Amino acid sequence: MSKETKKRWLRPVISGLLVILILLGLQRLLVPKYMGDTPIEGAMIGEYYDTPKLHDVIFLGDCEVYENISPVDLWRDYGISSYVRGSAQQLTWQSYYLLEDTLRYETPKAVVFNVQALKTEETESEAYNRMTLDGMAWSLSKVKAIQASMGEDESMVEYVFPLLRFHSRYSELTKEDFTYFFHRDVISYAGYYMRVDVKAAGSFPEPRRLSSPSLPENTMEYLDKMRILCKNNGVELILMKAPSLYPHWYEEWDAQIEAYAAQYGLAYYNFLDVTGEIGLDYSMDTYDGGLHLNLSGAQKLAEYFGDLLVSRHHLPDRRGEATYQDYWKEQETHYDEGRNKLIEELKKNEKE
Amino acid sequence: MKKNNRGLALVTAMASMLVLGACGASSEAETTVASVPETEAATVVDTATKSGEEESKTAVAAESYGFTYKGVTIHVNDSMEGVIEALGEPVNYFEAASCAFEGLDKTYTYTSFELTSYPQQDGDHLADIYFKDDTVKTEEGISLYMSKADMEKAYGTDYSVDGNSYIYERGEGQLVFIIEKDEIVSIEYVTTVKYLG
Amino acid sequence: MSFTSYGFIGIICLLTVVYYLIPKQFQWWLLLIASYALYLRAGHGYVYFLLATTIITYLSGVGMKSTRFSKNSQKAVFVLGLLMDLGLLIVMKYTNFLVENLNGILSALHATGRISYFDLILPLGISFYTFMAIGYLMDVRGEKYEPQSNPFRLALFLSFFPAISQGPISRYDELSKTLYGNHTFAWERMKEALLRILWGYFKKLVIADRVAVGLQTMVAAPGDYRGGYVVLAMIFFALQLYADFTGGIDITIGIAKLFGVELVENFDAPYASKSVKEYWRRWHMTMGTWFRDYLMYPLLRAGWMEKIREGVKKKWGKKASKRFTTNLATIIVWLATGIWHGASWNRVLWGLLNCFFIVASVECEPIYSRLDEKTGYRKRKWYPVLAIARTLVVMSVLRMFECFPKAGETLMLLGSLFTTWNYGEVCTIGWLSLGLSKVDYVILAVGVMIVWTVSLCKARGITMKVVSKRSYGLSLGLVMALVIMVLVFGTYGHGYDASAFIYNQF
Repeated sequence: MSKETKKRWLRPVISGLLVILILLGLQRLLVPKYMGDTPIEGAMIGEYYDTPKLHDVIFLGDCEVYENISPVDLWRDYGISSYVRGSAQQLTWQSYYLLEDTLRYETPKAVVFNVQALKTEETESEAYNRMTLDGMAWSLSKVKAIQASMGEDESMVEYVFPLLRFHSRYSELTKEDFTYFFHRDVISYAGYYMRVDVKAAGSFPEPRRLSSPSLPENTMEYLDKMRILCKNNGVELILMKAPSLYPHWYEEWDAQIEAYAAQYGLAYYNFLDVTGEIGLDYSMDTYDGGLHLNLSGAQKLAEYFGDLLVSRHHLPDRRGEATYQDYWKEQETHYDEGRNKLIEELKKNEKE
Repeated sequence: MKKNNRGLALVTAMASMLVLGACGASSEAETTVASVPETEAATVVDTATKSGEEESKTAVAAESYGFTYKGVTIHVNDSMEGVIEALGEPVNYFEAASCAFEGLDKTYTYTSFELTSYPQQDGDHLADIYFKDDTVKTEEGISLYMSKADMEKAYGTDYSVDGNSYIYERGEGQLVFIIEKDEIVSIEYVTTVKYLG
Repeated sequence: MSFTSYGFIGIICLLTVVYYLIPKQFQWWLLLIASYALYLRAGHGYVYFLLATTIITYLSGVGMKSTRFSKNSQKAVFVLGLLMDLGLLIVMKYTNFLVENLNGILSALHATGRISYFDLILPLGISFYTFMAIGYLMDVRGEKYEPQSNPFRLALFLSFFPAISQGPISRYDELSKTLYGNHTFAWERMKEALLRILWGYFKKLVIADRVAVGLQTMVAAPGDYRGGYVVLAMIFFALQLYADFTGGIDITIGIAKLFGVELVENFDAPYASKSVKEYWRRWHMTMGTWFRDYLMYPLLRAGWMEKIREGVKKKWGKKASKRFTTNLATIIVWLATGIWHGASWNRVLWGLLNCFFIVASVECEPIYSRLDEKTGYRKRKWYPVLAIARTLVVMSVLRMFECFPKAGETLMLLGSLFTTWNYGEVCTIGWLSLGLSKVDYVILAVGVMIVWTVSLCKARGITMKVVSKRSYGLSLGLVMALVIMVLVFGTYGHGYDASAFIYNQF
């Protein structure tokens, strides 16, 4: 290439790169960081990618999963190496695509899916969509997940270039947008969202009459897709219903899932039926009146569920394996620190 | 000759105008695009770009189905404050948390019915009225355990069906009846306004 | 399709790429197909009217020059075509206005019957393409050029998609120079086009759509916003109208340029006008010249106008007769201009008011000249500023008739400027209660400064080309700044508001 041609091309190319760089920077600045002012639950999906892919169990689902299952406790009690790929209001198809996504990085021995999400047949809000989807790494699965989840006034181009969606945040920038520009703190504990406060469960409104006894077709289809995907990858799909007292889990749905599980030889654990055996005490083990467990509740569930995973599903005990040891040592330290901090804060708030 | 031609031209023009105008009358404008050359005002002022739209332009949508209790009539989407004031304090109150946002759906239980609210920028609004027993009835006189025929007599047959639900829509709300074995087992007023659930 | 939708931008990108890949002789075909495809998207019913006008215009154009017809028949074909084109516009646009007025008369006479409104649709761009069609027919009749023998070429002329919704109103001989393809890709032209488009989006999204929020609050409930708020409304509307219309035209001209098609300018620093007359030579220029060439001049040449002139000449002399007929023609033109803008009495009033100022300034000119001879005030330095300010104020007031749909309301509001003394309230809290935040006002102010600066630079011949020659870095920086301003501060997409993000209601 002659010097002339080089010079002619250099300008536009450098200019172009400069413009792109600046726009990317702007985009990074304006996108919600999910670190304080914006709900931190939005940060969870993205945290998976930085972990070493050493998980034998992956949990999928919404807050009934990420607030009730604690992988660190599963490790401590049974040496099970797991991760919760949960997010706020994770819809069934989002769980499916997250599973597809996860399988690109590792092949766990088992995947646990919480069936409560099956009742939601339609996207309910853009905010929840974003909190699940924005954290996903770009892949065909993400594209399909966005397409399946998009509401009426959402568009793909706004997911590809979040600058177009969040540009008006310029009037709402907070300190967090600058501090967390380059990196974010890890706020979950292998995907578990920790709470130590207590709010005893009260009464709940009576469950409404169902207009149709069966779960929606489209979500059941995605459940089936999950089953087939697991089968094709040699992964065992386990179904569970978390011990959350509300929203109501109808008998009809329970029966339908039991039948489904029986038909395909899947394990299905409805923890609502065995709260006594788990040892759950809803006056102490929940932080929001029975909807989700707090740390003490999650620990009890981990003990119970872990036992099932080991005895019935033969999940390996990885304690003693060096790489796992190192990974989980870090997790445990992070977990203990976090717990102590939360307890301190709680004590401080109680004094006030 | 000249005069004739011009006259003919005029008549033909008018005739074809009416014909084409009639064509226009039967086709529908799918979008009230700001097609008027109002150079700008169309974007600011909600001008009736569709000729003759004046009557319906500012017509308020029909009100949703009402529920009367002890002389007070409420509709979904009403401001919750006003509703509680009119009906008095509930027997029970429950705040449901959804995954990331707390205290969104609030349920107020009264003796015979339940109200649920949803939040908006300007406060909570009534999202849902649910009958608990047959001591209450809708404004049109239908209560639980009546028959499907009773329902159709009161509301007609212009409903949509979803499973066992029979849904009537009016205004920004729906009236949903669940019928099992020809018996109304559930009556619910629901808002069609979308909110975070 | 709206200029400001992602889909539209995507389509333009795609079209541009394909345009330069296909053989040059097919380029205008691509534009024709695209124009009709986009027109169909606006609403299926509309296209029949566009087709009707196109066919009528084509046949009339060819027919009036066909040697198969006698001279009288040729004239008849011309008149028929003209009447049908115009008739379509009148019927679709003004029938219900007529009905409304007839009903008004009926009610005034206490009659019980009413005529019901017709369910008519207003096809996209009918006011614009009809005028283009009429102009074409009159030009062919006046032997300015030969009629277009290819109906598809005429179809493209009338339906060219960038200009269909808000003009500019093109003349056939002008537009046909560049409309029909054979364009090679030229990077310089692309840069100019893209810059023009960017500039248009800047005005539209950063200024026009932003200020529209505040204006809309007031227009939705005029009774609540009197006195000082009317001043705000005048300012807002002046900004919004300018930024939206000129911005839209910038995008239009820019998009056309992407395809190598040159459209005429529609604006020439209108807010720098020193009189209402000058304003209308700088604002919506293609409309002004259209009315001048196709209504004003034919009126002045018409037989009956001659008769009037003779009559007045006999009584009051030659000069008076000329003034009289000119003013008469002006009034008629402005009535037409008003009604062309919209089927309502508001518009007619607006047209007549504009006319009044123009005629008044012409009639009073002798007085002003004498004053100028005596005092030389027009040569003072402050005179241009005063003249511009005066014109701005007059136009802002007149524009209120465009802004508020009811004439009575507008008069009430203008009256309240003097009767409702809430200026204090407006200045302290009122201005923030319209939906615009302080940040918004800052952005608007900066935006206006930028537009003004660019306008001043343009007047002195400083264009982006000149700047980039001087300093490439500077020109790049300016473009980047514009891009960032549009992307970040543009009013598009759903606004992000932390609580709305949570409690979003679609």
